[in-house]
Parts: sequence; C-alpha cells; structure tokens
Amino acid sequence: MPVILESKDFEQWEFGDLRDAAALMKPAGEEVLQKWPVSKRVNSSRTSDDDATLIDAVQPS
Amino acid sequence: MCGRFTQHYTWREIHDLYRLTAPSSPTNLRPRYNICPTTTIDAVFGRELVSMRWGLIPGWWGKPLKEMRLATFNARAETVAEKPMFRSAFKTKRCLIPASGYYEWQTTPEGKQPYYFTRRDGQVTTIAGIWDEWADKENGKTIKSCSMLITSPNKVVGCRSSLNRKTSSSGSSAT
Repeated sequence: MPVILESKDFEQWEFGDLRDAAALMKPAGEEVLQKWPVSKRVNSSRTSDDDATLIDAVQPS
Repeated sequence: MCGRFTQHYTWREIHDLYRLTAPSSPTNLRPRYNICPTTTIDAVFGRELVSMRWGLIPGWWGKPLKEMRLATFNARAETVAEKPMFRSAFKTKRCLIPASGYYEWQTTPEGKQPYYFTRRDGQVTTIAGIWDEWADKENGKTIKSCSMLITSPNKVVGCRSSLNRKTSSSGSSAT
C-alpha cells in the first residue's frame, strides 16, 4: 500500500533529515482508510480517465 | 504496489491542505479517475503544485526517455535508501502526491476484483513521494518525475490483495 502522510507530517517528510523521513514510512493506521469494490472496467488502463462512475461501489462479481 | 489512483479534488481542498502559494491563482483541475503510470500528475513540493511524470527518471539517466523501461512509479520503503534508481531523490527531493483515492486488486476465481480506497475522514489522501529532474538531451526539455513510496499493507488493505496485485502485474519493476 502507499505510504500515507498526515498533514502534521508533511514538513517532516519533505524537509526533515533521512531519519525523520524514514520514520514516516510505515503503513497507515487501520482507522485511516476505507475500501469498497468497484467496477472491473478499471482493470483496463484504456478505460476513460474522465469517468466518475469508476469509483462507484458495486456488488463484487 | 500502487499502480492506479484518482485525483478529483477541488482547488480549494488542496490549496487549504498544502497551504499552496503557487500557482497564485486558482487553477482548473481536470478530475481524473483512472490515472496510470507514465502520465502527468499533480504533486506538491514546498508550497507549490507541480506537474510531474508518474514514474521517476533519475537525473543521471543518460539514455533516451523511451529506453526507460523499468517501472519506477513505486519505490519500496524498505529499499528506497539503497536502490540506485531512487536513493539520490530520497535523500534530497521528497514530495507529496495528492490522491482522492487509489485502487487495489483482489484475485478471485471470477477474475481480478478492484477495490477503491479513500480516507474515512473525507480528506484528500497524501501519498509520500520522491521526485527528480532530468534533462532530455534530445529536445533540451527538463522533465520532473516522481514515484510513490509503498510499504507493507495494514489489515484493512489485506496482505492478500496486495500480494496478488503484485504478482499479476505486468512488466519489470525497479522496486
């Protein structure tokens, strides 16, 4: 998963020393994210980038 | 890995979140729901919104751009400090990559099922990035490019979906 930063950590990530930056490279807490299944149309990189319905929740098939 | 994401926030949302000072006036941002590697994305460095190629080209790269065949859109947290591709950028050029959300896939008997991940609090998600600048000798242009840092998933994401995504992805990887 991507390394997710909280707003209080932005400065530390960008301008801290290497140890400061490394300390932030950990998975986000379980409470931070939510997920839902979406259409398999997104499996193709050719699917239109403009299609807002790609992020709509669907029943997993 | 994180190979597909979205950017569909408003100017005000990112202006407030990153306290942007540049560009100085609101910019019309094109909402994007299926962002793929090697396309141009929004990144934040300092208080500035900057367009960057998603897929790092290190400053020392001496060959034409089309010969950059390694997948450099993700850099692993565990190895970013050592990999020649990333270590210099990690040392001196770290940035923020705003994302409304991102996709990951779970392999099921019926095929690959995508899931969309967003923050529970509704904020724009900020992904840790590294960036670099590369001069294209063929046309004299300078290209800014970036990679997202990735790490082992937490329980909400699930190790399984992430591992499956990794093995089912195509192409070589520098991560």
